[in-house]
Amino acid sequence: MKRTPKKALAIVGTAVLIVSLLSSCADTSMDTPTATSNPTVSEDSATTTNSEDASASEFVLIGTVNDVSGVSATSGIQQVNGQRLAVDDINDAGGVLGKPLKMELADGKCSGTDGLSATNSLISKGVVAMMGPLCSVACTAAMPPLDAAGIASITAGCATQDIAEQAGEGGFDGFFILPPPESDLARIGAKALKERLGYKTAALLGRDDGFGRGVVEGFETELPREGIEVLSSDLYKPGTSDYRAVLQKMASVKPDVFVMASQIDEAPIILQQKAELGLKEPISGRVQIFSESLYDALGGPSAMDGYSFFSPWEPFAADVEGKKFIEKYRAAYNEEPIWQAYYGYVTTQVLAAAIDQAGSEDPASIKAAIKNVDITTPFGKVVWDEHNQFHPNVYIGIMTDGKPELLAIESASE
Amino acid sequence: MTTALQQLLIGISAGSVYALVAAGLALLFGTAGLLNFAHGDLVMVGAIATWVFVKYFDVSYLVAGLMAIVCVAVLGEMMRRVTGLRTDKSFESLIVLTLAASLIFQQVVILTAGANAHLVRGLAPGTRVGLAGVSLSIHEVTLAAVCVVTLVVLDFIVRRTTLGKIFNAMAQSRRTASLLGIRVEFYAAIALAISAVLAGVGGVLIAPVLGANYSMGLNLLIIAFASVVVGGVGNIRGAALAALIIGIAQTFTAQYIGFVYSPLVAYIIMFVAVLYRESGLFRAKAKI
Repeated sequence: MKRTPKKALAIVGTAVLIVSLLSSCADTSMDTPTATSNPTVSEDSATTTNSEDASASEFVLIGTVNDVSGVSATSGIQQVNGQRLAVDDINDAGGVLGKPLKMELADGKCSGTDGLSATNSLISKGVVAMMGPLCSVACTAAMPPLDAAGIASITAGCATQDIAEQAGEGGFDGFFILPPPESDLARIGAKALKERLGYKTAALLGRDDGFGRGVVEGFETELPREGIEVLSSDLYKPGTSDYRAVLQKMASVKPDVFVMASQIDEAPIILQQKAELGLKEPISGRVQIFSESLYDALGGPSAMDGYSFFSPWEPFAADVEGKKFIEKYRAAYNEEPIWQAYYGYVTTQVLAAAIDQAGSEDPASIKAAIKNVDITTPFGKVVWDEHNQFHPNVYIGIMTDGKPELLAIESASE
Repeated sequence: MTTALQQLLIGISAGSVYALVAAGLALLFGTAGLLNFAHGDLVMVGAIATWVFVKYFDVSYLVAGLMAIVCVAVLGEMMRRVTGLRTDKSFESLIVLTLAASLIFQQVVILTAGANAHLVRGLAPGTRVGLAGVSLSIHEVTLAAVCVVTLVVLDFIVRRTTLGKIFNAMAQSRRTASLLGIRVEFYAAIALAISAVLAGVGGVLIAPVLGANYSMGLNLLIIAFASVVVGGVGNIRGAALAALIIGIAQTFTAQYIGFVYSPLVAYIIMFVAVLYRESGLFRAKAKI
């Protein structure tokens, strides 16, 4: 059978299209260890296996849309783990409204369509309030159905400008954002880069998603205000694995510092490639990347010296409550928590406090109670701005002698 | 000028691995007509296996790499036997079977090694050699050298040996080759084994550069497919050269246009090549 070039070309061309489609699917909704095909998964310790069959009077039902699969699964799984711990702690302390708290999980997969269907599935289950989603595309999709159903939600992600602009007064008034907005981090980060570290020029690199673009755009605005010149600015597609060309480009403009916004599972690869390229510029970043495997790959912890970071929370700088959480998290999941885990924990506590404050399971009362919730978190007392955005404290640190060192915990209020 | 030269070296380093992966794909498709959607995942398994052997068996990178290549070759043969890959299967069957194999490989890696990227230390980490302001790491130099040597050996096999003549006969017409007494399925299995070894070598070489991650095969597969189209379907030299061109073009795109546009390069080159030379750049000059 002789295959003509045209026929063969058509076959391979079709193959390219199929693989490309698969690749784009992988960017939005591919699999991870705890991925589940079920839209919702019961997460409480109650004996009930089907929440629809259970009487609402037995427990207070809340929901969480989070990413246990997809490109943000590393963060999403940690956040759900934190929420599980909080539910256990709250129930150990007597629950809310005198009843146990029950949490239903639905996988948003960091995708608009999955975020929407996950939200709708939780609404149909009869949740009285919700947490999440984590990804900005899923948050955008989730806000309209939540608003239509009158269900409030507190997200421990989606801290981008475009989400904040849609939430609060004049928009989706039942949608609340707990982590610091990227604009706060960029403002505080830019100030620290200038005043504490003395940099005059910078090259930016961020992930091409809501988070990365938010950070890069934030620094593009804030660095010049502090007198730091932005010499180059680049984005990379989620799923990228070879960063050498862009790192070399950043080095070619000879900046004082590389400013980077990456997910926790991408940053070590970027740092390893930077080290292999022999680039000496210090990095400043929006990600926790301290791990033994990274130290090993770079030749020891001191290889990270000079790396500065701005983040919503740092485990090494945890207070007493934070340390208790870390111990519980380690014991339960045999891994180190990142900031998303602690924010998941705290978000659940804020929601539970609001439900208690509302004094009923009525979604409208809970929404009003969240707006006026009286709780002081490890990141400060919860006060929402007009866009239902909390402005918690920001942690600033630097790697020195192979160890992370806390430079300051800055208040985000201007 | 120094920046352009440095990007050229990075492009050659990336393109070398692309070339190795594309050559394996082209060999298998050219000789056996098998379009292997799991080819990128064989590269991924090579990288993951290297990490596993280094981390859990406490062996050196070189030893781990050799063990990983053997693993990938065995896995390729297992895939052939389990899925019943044969040259007379329809294109649709091949898509389903190799796609299924691809997804299974990824899921097994996720379940056993996790979804995160794993870092692997290569040869002489942090040591670079250079001249006139441009440099490459020892690992990148080794990577390029191994790729070139492997491709030269492959080219020699295909063009100068009896096995190569059989491959070329199969590329011309598997039916005629069969009528001449050539055991087509046996030699298709040989082609698959060689293709898997090339994927394994690629995975071992790329692991210390890109890390090892369950999803890394997809990008490599896209570039390999594009290279096969640009180089002339089934043409090994053409595919390897096209892969090198794509690797270099990606780095220059990152430097002078924007890194976010780099993934588009493979598609644009493929589109332009097909538009102006439908049979690919090198089809007329060689059989495989």
